Amino acid sequence: MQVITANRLTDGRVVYLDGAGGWTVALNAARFLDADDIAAAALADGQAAVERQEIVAPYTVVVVEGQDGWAPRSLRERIRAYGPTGVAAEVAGA
Amino acid sequence: MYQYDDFDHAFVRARVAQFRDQVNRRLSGDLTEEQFRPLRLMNGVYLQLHAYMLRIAIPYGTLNARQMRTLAHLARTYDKGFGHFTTRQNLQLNWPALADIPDMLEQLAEVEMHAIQTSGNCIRNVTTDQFAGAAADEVADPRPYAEILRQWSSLHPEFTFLPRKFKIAISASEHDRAAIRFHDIGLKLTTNDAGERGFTVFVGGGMGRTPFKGWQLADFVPEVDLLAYAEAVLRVYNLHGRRDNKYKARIKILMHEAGFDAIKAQVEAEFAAIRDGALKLTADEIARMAKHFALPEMPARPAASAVEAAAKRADTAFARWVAVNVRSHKVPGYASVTISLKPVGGVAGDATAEQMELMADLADAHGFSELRISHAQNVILPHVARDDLKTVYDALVTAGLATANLGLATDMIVCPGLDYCALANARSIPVAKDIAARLAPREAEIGPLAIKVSGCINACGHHHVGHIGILGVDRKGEEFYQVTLGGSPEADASIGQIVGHGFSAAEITGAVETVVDTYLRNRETADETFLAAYRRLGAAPFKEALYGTA
Repeated sequence: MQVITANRLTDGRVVYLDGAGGWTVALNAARFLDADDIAAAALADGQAAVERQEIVAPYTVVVVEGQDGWAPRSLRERIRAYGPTGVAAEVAGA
Repeated sequence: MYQYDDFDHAFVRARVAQFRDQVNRRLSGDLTEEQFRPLRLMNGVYLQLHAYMLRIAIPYGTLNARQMRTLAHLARTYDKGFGHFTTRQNLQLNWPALADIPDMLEQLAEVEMHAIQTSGNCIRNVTTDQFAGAAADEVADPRPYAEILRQWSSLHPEFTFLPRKFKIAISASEHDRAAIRFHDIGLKLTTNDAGERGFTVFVGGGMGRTPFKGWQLADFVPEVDLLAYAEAVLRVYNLHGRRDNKYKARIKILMHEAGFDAIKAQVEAEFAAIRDGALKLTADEIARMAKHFALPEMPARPAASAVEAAAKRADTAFARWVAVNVRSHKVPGYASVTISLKPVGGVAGDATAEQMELMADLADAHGFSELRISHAQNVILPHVARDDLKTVYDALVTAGLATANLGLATDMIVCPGLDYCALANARSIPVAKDIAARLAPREAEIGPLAIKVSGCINACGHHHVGHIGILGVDRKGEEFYQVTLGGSPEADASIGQIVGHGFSAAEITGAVETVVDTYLRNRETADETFLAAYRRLGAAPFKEALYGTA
């Protein structure tokens, strides 16, 4: 399973493509893409958002389902999603 | 410290206005990200894992209380209430909004600060000894020369499109507290037999994926020729530095590939051609600049403080803090105080807005309003009356800033790592915290020990020159940590040796403890430092302890 992620242009925050074609900071509100061709099409939507000055540098991220729902498979993307590790919760949040 | 004149104010304000326009054009789409990226980098703006990051210049690590309060204000107003002091004596804020950055830069300009050239392929912040001006062992305060270099390098029309970043450091003592041998240009202020001031010049030092100790390119460059010589080095680099591979674009690679003799010949030829031109400094100019850095008027005091002595008898923790974190000043009765930003359990180099404000208040009340940032990510009050040490200490205790660990095992240099940095392969902060917690109870027994942690091969944590260096790598999606031993950034410069295979995140703390235990078992006396013992013993006993094989 994949999602599309990027950084929001105005503030650099990590965002995910949602089901309405917008961008959300909440991973669990992202649009989940269960095939490569669907992900590629969604990435094209991301490029369009770049041209509308909404986001910067969209790309796909693999997510896996665990006990607490879907989460990025890689540590880097988990840090992007949930914030720096080992710091206070109010800092870690987006 | 240096005071802006009308030209400087206009210069920085113009830069803010220019960048504001660039940001507006980026937000409106008139500039693409590819067009904007080099412009924002030259203004210290990165796009990192979580958000933009703004790197604010603290020229040669010197700032006043008003400037520190402004940094606190920016951290509180535009960020998450804290900032990170770096190994280049700058401050990083990790969550500014791009749209807010022009306003932040405008507020910085009001207190004579900026973020110019803290990133990009240009000459970066010139760094120096955090005790400059206060140290008894210095030839002279190196900061006037650092300021001269800063003015020369800011928006230098030839050097705004270098093959890669360029870092200059300057020290003025036999004890190199600025790691000058690991910079693109390292300058050591010295005197010749006639007592004239000049510089020993090292070129081509650096860390990163191919660490090198700098080559001593010149034994003595007279102080009036400082800029001409630096310009000659930069011109040769700009002409011949590689632009085909960003990992081989630093001057250290040029020195290595072209050879010392070839580069020296070219630099000397260029220097000869330009040394008597517009870049020639005069004694008057140097003296004028030096006036900005004159010591404050420090009332005469007895060398020994009865107030301090009584406080030490009454409070052993204070006594320990003085012994570890307080350094004698060249003016009797005064001292330089290192405020550790390495509390056990904390993030190395981080300070909250409240802590910044407290340090500013202490500087105003007890430190002639002056602070420094060391490349080891601590804050220094350079000029404190010894009579005031207990008052300063008590205030620091309330803010969690009184950790007595300067130069000890928990005084680690730690890069932001994968928790913050888009370049990183592994986290450095949790590893450092864990190691600090493990070693803190014994660090007095261990003695001087420099542990340095980098989250990737770019080595922003200076792991190559750690007595114990730790490099985070990604091994098939898992964090692993390589250990190097025996590095030193000082005059006895050495690059640490890799001891063997890496360790997992779960194993690395134990591995570091094993190294420390091996040292403690094998040291000749309690006074033999880790580095001295390693150099005497070699890697064999440490490899044996870690891996069971010599």
